[in-house]
Amino acid sequence: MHVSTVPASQRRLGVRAISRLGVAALAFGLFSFGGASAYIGASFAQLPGIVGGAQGADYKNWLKIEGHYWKSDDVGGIFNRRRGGGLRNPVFYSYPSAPRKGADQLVIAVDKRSPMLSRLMAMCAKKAILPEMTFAESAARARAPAEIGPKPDEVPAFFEYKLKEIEFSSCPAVEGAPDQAFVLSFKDIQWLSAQGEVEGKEVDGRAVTLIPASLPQLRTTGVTKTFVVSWWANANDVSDDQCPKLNQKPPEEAYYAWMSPDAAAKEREALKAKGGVSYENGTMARRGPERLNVCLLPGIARDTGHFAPQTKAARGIDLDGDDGTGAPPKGVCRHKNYVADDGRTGIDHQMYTVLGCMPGYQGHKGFLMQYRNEQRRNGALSVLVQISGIDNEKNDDSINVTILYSKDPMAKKADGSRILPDYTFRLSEEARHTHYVTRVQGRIVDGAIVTEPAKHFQMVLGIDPELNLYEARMHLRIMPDGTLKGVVAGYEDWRKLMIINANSNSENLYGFQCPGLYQAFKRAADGLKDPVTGECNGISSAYDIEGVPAFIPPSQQRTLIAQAERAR
Amino acid sequence: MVLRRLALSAGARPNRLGRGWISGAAGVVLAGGIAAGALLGTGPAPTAYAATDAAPVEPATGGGPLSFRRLSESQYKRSIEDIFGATIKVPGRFDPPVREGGLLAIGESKVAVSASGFEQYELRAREISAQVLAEDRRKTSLSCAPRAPTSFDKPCATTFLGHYGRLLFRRPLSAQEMATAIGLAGEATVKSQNFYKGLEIGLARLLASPNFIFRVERSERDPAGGQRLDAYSLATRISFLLWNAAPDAELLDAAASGALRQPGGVERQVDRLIASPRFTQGVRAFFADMFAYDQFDGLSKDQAIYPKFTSQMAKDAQEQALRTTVEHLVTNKGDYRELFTTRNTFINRNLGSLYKVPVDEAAGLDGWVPYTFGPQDGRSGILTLAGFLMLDPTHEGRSSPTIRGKAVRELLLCQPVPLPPPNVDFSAVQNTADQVHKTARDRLMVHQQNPVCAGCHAITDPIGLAMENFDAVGDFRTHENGALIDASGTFEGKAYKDVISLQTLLRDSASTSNCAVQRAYEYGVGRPLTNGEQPWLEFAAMGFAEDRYQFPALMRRIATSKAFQAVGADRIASRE
Repeated sequence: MHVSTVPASQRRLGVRAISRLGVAALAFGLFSFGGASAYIGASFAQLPGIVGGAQGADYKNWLKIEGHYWKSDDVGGIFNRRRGGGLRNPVFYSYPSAPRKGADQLVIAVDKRSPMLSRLMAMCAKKAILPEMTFAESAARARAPAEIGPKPDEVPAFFEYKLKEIEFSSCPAVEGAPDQAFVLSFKDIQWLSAQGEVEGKEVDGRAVTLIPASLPQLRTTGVTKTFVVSWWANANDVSDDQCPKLNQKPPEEAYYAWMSPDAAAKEREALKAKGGVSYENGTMARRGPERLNVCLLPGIARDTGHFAPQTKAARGIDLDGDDGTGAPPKGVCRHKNYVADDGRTGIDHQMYTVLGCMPGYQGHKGFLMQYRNEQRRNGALSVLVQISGIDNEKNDDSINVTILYSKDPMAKKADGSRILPDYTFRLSEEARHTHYVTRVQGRIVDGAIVTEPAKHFQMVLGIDPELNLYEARMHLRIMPDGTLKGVVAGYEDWRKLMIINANSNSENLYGFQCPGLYQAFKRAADGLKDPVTGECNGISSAYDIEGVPAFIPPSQQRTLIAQAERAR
Repeated sequence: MVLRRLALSAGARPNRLGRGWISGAAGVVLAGGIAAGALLGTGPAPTAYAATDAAPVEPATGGGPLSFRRLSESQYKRSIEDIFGATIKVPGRFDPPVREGGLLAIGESKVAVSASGFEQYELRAREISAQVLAEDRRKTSLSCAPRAPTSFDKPCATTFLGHYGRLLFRRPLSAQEMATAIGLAGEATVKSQNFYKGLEIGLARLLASPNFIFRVERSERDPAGGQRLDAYSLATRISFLLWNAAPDAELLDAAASGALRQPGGVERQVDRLIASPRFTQGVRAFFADMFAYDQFDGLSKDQAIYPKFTSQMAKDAQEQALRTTVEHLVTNKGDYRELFTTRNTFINRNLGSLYKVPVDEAAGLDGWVPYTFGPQDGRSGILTLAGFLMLDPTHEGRSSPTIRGKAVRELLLCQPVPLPPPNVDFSAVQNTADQVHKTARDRLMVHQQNPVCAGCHAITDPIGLAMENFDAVGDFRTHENGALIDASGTFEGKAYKDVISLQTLLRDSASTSNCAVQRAYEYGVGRPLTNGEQPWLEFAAMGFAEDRYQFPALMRRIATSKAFQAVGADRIASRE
């Protein structure tokens, strides 16, 4: 298993690196703008004579596909988005990038353990032509990752297409890869139902309606303390020696691995004038056999390996009530449990296991984290945490924690090193913020604010992707200097995180290889277990949250209370 | 009595109204007069006349010398804006102001123009003229057009230069002045073959003239005897007192027509100016001078210790204090003394963070909203506003009770404090990390063991120590170096426990209100009081009390008084 190593002198890629790499490249990497955005997750195909054996509730017995992409969608260019609102208009639900009509190719990845594999390989060997097949992909998985808000009712959960005159063009085999790629060339496509059109006109997606959150009861007695979030990041920095080896981008040589020497030489010459293989525009991702994209379909390549942190400690919360020594509880896959620095055991933070040795994601040291926080500090969004109902700062059996949003910027110390406390933040009345206001119940135990599990906890954080945590909890402390510090943890859909990073620009910026990261996520996934397939679709995740004292205007505080009273 | 001896031995001059310093008894002969205390001429505030008393007659004064005051930077710019419009840019640097006798307004009477300063005036004069006569402005700048643009049109030039000359000099040009300006404009027209260029030169001459740059006062015979300001000089004094601006056309017309000299003429114009929104700018300018807000320019604090301090914060602190003052004194016609007790103020987002209070959403990011400190906020009165607390340009890293106490004495009580002797060792005071003498009070006690220092510090420190619950930028604190701060003391023989109770004593002290009267008058006349004006000052203080310490009424009383326009027998400038 080839894994690249990094000299200690190059361990950290600081904020200055961002300017060298270019903000555009960073934005490009943030939401996989490198050509298509990946579809990591199940799609389904109904082929004549094929009983696929898909077990889940969706499309039972159809052929389950581990991932796919439309060839026409895999084009280069940083801002070459064929669809969707992206960062410019995130309150949108973009449709998939399937072609509307005409010929194209659909590249699919099928698990080599699929009982249909040998039949499919035989069909490929014969270059079989099928008159038609039905293909279904999830609207949620196909959506542009920067978008926020719930699915409009008029958007189906799955988009279905009828492909016509499909030829199994090729199926390059990669020994040791968990999935098999198939390139299906079709002559025409028909979007079933009218999802792709509105009143006869082709649309890219539908506007999302965000309604203000409906909040549970607010504690109005006792003391209320408000904080503005001065730092939010993956809790991935534990110690300086947590990673004897850091993950790295794929070497340029990997691009030529599938070429003959002559072809490689020609290609090298052709790319010389362009500065070599580009990570930024997605070229590097097309390093699979037949130039297939190993970031869009990471399973079709061999696992390149992925370094994990070597610490027993991690910040986080025990989400499953288990310390990992016995059989995992129901709904949980076996995984490593960590110990918190305050001695709490059973800490579930598999995201640390996966991202902890990727330079871009290393908490305070990770420049992606620094970049996102700097954007917030520069006015992208101010997130507020309000703790209400504090009757006793040491022990209190009932408090609330409310997440609120403001467009008012934070004030920084003159050297930019920290956020200044005690500023007033007007609550944003924009739907993109009021929709994400959230309140959880909790208590204070020996000075620690702990919240009850929230089934589905959502936040927006500015330029970060929409945060969705399941079974989410908080563990916070108000420090002696009045600041707030703690973690927010829960399970995340690991495939969403893979989608965001599945491009060669991200490989370059954050330090990883798509196939290795994909397999690392699969191995580490420990929650949201599918009761039918037994697969864990969620990964335990913890975020550091730090805040400084802040205020909201008295009139808006009164409104919050009044709203809560009306909701009783 | 001990303090009085100490104060006198230290060279302090008594408050002008501090006859108690000398007599120690209520020696005022005016009915209901000022009760003088034993210390520093203080005591209960003067009482208004009883209804049965006859209205007092304004005492005659000997007048004072005519003043020759340089326009301040803001006055210069406002004059240009008022005369030529807001779009005219005023370039160049201005010589810094000088504070004399507690006021910049007095200092402007003492300054000369340096060589480099004069160069700047010349530069400004040429650049302003060029803008005024620029092609796109001529239609609004000129009320006439030349017969030919390449030749000199004397009637048009006379109209132009006469009109602006009157506004710039704040009086009509004399025949000689007009002739000089016309001559220059004519020569320049011939040389440049451009009438407008000629006018530029003529206008620049007026702008560079001392008659514009300085407020040159002139006197005339007073029919009642003695000398008084001439009508134009009086109009100028009134206008700068009430608006901090040159007289407008209506006031100049009143001077020209003799209306200002008619019975009630001055009162009518003064009432008009006070009723105008521009009176607010006049009040702001006065208090900015009296409270020494020029010290905000370049004010700096150590941001490692005070991370919230920025130049914007300093500006906001100044603005808060001025808004509070104007709102209380002008909008609400409040009692001047209650500036020291009011909880009502204004706040913006920046200051909300300094005071650690939430700010109403109406303030937005940059705006201001009224705010009332609650009883638990520990603030009331202007001495608890950042605008007073941070205004110490000499200490970037700590508060100075001595400087704060000195500011209260000199700026608010008109009680000068002697300068420190040379070569004083301040090291004990400056050692803010001293773990033995943890608070400023402890450190100052050490410093005061030096008898040379004790006298003046006894005047300043008790007052300044009352404010030690506020650090150098005005943030509230209860401890310093882990030790509880003791803000108690005595003022005029009465005890206080903190700055709030101190301000209650300041409110009730005659020195406070008397100082406002003294400063307003000196600001208006541009010089310190003369001995002959003392009885008038006492009269005005009585009137201030009668008017329930309303500041607009005080300004009216000053502006309409005979004293305001009286000119002393010595130092009379000739009219021509």
